[in-house]
Amino acid sequence: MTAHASTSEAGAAPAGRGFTRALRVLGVLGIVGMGFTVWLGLWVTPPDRTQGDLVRLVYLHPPIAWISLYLAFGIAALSSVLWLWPRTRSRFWDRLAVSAMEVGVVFTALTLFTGSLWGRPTWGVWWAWDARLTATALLLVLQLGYLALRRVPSDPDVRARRAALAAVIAAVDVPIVHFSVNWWRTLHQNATVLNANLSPTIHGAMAWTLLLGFVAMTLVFFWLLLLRYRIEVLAEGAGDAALQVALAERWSEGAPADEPAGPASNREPARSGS
Amino acid sequence: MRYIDAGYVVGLTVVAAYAVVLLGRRRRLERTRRAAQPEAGA
Repeated sequence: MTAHASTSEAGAAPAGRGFTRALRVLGVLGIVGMGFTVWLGLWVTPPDRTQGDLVRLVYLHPPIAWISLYLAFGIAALSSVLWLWPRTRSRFWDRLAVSAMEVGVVFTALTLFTGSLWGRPTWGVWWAWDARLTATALLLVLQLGYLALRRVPSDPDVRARRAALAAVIAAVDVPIVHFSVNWWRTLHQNATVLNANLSPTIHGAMAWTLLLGFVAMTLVFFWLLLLRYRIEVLAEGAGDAALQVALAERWSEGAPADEPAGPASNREPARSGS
Repeated sequence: MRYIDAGYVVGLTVVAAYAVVLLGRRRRLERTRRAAQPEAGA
């Protein structure tokens, strides 16, 4: 067992004022940005020549996919590597990885949902076992698997190492999702912005609205990520406190009847089973 | 338009609902931590 990162490391520390303010600013900016994106996307931007009004889903689906595939999974994978690397190992990276992964699950599920909604009127089907779609569905399964793995009861360090390895292995799917439209013949269109020539195929008001969608969704993501990270810190602190209470109760049970049940630190714990 | 409406309504509602769940969890844990602090100090 590696004993580099203790559970109590900054575990129950209250959030600083700066952290709370950053959280609030991110939340407000993200919500306002999303409001503008919806307004521009649904009422201001023109319909597309070939797709008509369906193009309005471009301001929603790619920003969600960007969060799910690159940002959330990227942060989770990078944090996992930094946890596995002995020189950078810290409980911070483990908390960040699980936070990014959980937020990422929501966005991956929405990527599949909004993509399916777009696919029905354009391709005529809700779902196709196309390379891009299948690889994205696999990503969702891998993310859920990661979260399930974290719920297996074990030592915090062992759990963190196991989860970090799973995240790094799962990250192999990310380039497969990205390049699937180039490697195989798929129903899904090629990238609009991050294409091979780095030459966006969208212009004018549509391009600016798409850019705003990316920025707003990124702000919302970081707001949710920091919120989820704070919960992880608080939950660890609550776990430590509950453990201390349980230990104190256990020790007081083993104490002689005439000795008051005082602070546990003054006594040797009752060793059972020997 | 119903596909577009459904995408925006469901997409934004799910993100908002998740944010509400996180805010609720954080509030509950903050309350527990505050309640535990006097006991720890005693």
